[in-house]
Amino acid sequence: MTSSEPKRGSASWTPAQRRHTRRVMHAGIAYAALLIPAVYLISRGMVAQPWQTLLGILPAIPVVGMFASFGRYLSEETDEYQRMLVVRRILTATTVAMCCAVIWGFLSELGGMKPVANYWVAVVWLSVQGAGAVYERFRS
Amino acid sequence: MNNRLKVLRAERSWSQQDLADRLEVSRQSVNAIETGRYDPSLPLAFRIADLFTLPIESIFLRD
Repeated sequence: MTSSEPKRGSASWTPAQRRHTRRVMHAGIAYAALLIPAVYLISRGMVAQPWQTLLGILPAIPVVGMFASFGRYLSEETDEYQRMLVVRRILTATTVAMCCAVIWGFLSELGGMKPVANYWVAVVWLSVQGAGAVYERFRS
Repeated sequence: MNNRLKVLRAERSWSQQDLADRLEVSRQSVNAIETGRYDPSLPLAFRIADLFTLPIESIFLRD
């Protein structure tokens, strides 16, 4: 290609993917920064209500931001194939996470298994998303 | 749906990345279209046809 022909920059990431990854990384850093002090303070009984509730919800906010980032990504992505892949991953991750939630819900209610915190549904969802992204990257 | 994208690209000595840059899509998109794993939308198919200055039906063929 000559210098006058179009150049898109990084070959493997679309601009929307780069922005989405940056947002998710920032949210991950904020999550860690909020979770550690929250667990430290609450587990040692150093805060009382209503501050405990406020402190308890703070680490959830960046995770909600991660989910919001997926929505923003879908509206920003101009590469239709990449958008289709992410939509497919979202559907797969949602199916897996909901199946896990339902199966574990019945196991804990009726099967004598120990209940787990609801946020594990989000952990499963994000893990399936990540695994799917890695799989697609190697596949292409 | 079959297509002649790989042949048309080879005739111009373009890599998948070269074609992707011209279409403003990712290299993975070009690869997926060439290998038949993804059928492009009509707007993208028209962009491809415009780039090669060919009618759509001479690039994309029925199975």
